[in-house]
Amino acid sequence: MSSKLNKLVEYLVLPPLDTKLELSYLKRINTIFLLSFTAHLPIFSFIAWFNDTGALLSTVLTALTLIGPYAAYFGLTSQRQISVVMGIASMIMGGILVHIGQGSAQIEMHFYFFVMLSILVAYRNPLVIVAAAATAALHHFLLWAFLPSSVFEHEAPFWLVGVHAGFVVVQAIAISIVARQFYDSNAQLEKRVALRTAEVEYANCEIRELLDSVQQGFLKLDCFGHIGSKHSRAVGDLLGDIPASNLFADMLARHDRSAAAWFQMGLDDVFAGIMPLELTLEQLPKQLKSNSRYLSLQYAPIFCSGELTHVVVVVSDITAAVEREKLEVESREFMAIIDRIAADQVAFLEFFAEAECLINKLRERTSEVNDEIKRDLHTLKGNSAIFGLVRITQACHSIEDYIAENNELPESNLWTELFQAWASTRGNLRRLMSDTELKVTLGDDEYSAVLLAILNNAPKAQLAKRVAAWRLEPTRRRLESIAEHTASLGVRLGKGKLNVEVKDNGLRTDPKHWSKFWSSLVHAIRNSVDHGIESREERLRKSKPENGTIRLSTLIEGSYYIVSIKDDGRGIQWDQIRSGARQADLPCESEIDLKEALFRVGVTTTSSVTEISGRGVGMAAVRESCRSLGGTIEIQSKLDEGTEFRFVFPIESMAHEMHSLLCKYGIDNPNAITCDSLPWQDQLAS
Amino acid sequence: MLSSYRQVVVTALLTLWFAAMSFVCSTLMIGHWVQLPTPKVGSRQPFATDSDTSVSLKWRALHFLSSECVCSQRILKHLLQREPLSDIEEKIIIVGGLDATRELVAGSRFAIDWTSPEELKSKYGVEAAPLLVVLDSDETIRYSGAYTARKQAYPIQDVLLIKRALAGESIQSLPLFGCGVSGEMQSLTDPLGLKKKLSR
Repeated sequence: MSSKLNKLVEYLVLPPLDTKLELSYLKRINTIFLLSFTAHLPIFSFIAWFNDTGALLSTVLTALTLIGPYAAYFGLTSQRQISVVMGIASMIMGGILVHIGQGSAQIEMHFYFFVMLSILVAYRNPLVIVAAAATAALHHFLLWAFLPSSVFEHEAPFWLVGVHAGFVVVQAIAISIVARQFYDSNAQLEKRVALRTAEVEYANCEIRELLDSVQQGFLKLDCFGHIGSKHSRAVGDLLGDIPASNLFADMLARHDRSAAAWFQMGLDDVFAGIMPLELTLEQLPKQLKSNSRYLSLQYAPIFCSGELTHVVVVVSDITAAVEREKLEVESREFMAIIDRIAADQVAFLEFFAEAECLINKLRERTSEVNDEIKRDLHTLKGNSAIFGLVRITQACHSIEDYIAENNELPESNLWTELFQAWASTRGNLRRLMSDTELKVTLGDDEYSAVLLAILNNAPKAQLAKRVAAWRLEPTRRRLESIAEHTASLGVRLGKGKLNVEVKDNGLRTDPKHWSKFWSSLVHAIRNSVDHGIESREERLRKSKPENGTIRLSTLIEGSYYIVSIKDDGRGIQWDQIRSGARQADLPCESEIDLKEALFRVGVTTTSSVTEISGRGVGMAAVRESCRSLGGTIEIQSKLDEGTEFRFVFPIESMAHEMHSLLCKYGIDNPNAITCDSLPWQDQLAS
Repeated sequence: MLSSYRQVVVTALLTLWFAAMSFVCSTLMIGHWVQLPTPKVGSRQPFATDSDTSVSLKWRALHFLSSECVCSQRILKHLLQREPLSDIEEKIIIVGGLDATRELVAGSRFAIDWTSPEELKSKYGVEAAPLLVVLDSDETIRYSGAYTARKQAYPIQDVLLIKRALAGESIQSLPLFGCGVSGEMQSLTDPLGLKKKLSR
């Protein structure tokens, strides 16, 4: 008997609250009951007023009843205890309703008790129902105690009271069982949910460990660029904390503002769906420099029901790879320097001296953009490309890009890149030789010939001319160097294997003064290859040989020294020059105007800028260096036949200093030192 | 410490609240359960009225109502909706004289008699309302009881009950559940006096 009673108590009294979910649920239900009881106040008053049973009495009684739920709700800490008070209060409310609802509907008002008992199942606690039923029973007991005849007289014989109580008891038992089972199943469900949640959390934890253990940052972006809540730890390590705006662009902006703007625009294109997805993803920024680190950005689309919903960004630290690549580039450059020095030490040292001069000028640049800075950069870029100095070429190109886009000089980082590249190149050169020495190297034959000439008392004039010629540089060397660069450009630009013909006519020039011109000549070559020579297909359509031809020559015509670059390309597109001149507000009416415009900064025949040409700076640099030697430029161009640039100089300018020196000592025909074909060698040898 | 003290106070308050509300609800319900006393059928009850003795030769129907009793008000409103019956002398005796009730009966064709609870008991021997008493011409009570078959339920059967009494039928009086009018009955049906104090 005792064990059965214990079981009954165990059944009615629930185990202690053990889950937050249950506690939260009880709190919510208690709040709902409290609010609904509060709502009884005006409703009951209205019923009493309508029934003429005393609105004031109803208000007072309902308010007194509310004291219990409010005291419990705000005074008790146990939600279970509060719920028991709510159960009791519900029965007292029923008692008041029956009283104020007297009249024809008085019996119907008793349904309130049954309804409330059923609603109390929501507590999932049999004790609440038992407490409520006990309250109703106590009420009847007290009524009987006050007035025994009220229950047993006339309309209420004992069996009727039994039936009355029986229904309530049966209902109370039934809903107590339902409440208990509701509780049990819910508890099991909670445990199951807790188990599953733990499993999911464990799986999440494993994935998190995996993600956090890799060096790459993974994050997910929505169409607005908002960062998803889950991302790998490396994201923070590589890019810093997630910004308050939660926008990836803002995160990028900490490291590179232009990349951030570029990204945001590109992301709009990705989700706009107008262009192919692969293309728009390809256009997003792929690399970022953060302090001393290089980061790569890779993108992968996420689809849901065939619709693009998110983009995954993979951030990787590629500093080591970039540094390795830099070393490789530096290595290649070093090898290139060795090759160039071996091939033509003088030319390389001249290039180097001129490049250093340009670098120094750029170091002392003004704060505003001007044509001189553009020319210097362009010349440095072109010459560096000839000598295989890729890093300097790329650094110059980046600065040119920035100037073209913003019409202002870039911040120090791009300049630092250029100057660092130069410092590295200079260091490499010094490992090989002094970068300032210019030596005269004689072959055995030449040495023997001069010695014999002295021993044989050769004329002073001949000896002086011979020795003076030692300091001059054969133009062949320069032309061949340019020819090599021209052929290489042709391959890079998809123009095929160009036929580059060199004809130097045995001429020599003073390297000290002509170095700048030879350097700037590269721009004219680049223009010829990039814009003059057509593509193979176009040449075949025009019934031209598949591969283009460029002729480089130096020659003497009368008292003029001429450097010529001639191609068999499409000729100059004067309409485009005219259009470019108009855009630059330059005169473009006459042929002279157009030729003038061709050499002005910013005028170009192409709409796209490449690393090779397209900025309208190169030709201006060529003219500048040509003019500095007292020369002029002649252009002969025929549509679809080709173009020839002739740089015409006074013959004296070929070796001006030496020419003056020889003249000073009364030596006639000093110009002979610039031409190999003079018959002095044979005379000296005899 | 403070928390446990608060817990004790709240628990005590709740216990007090529970006991008080159970008591109050129980007392309220007594009014609905207690069967109120009525004059016995067949007895000769010499009701002292102000009526003309010539008129008293006719059968009489007396409606005992209380101006402070909700049940009585319901019956009064019902009566005022009809004319007094022609073959019997009908009279309404109202205990208490609230203004609202006086306004209600103003212009009525029923004979109205106003009285006090003390006078009702001493003069008519009646202690509860609403009560219908039908007397024959010998002043013998032919019906004495409530107006409805169930507690405060419709239909109100006054006309039917009077006509059956006039027809000489033996009618079982309906039990009276309503308001105590005399002090003794009021103590029984409204021990705390809540209805009396707060119903109006």
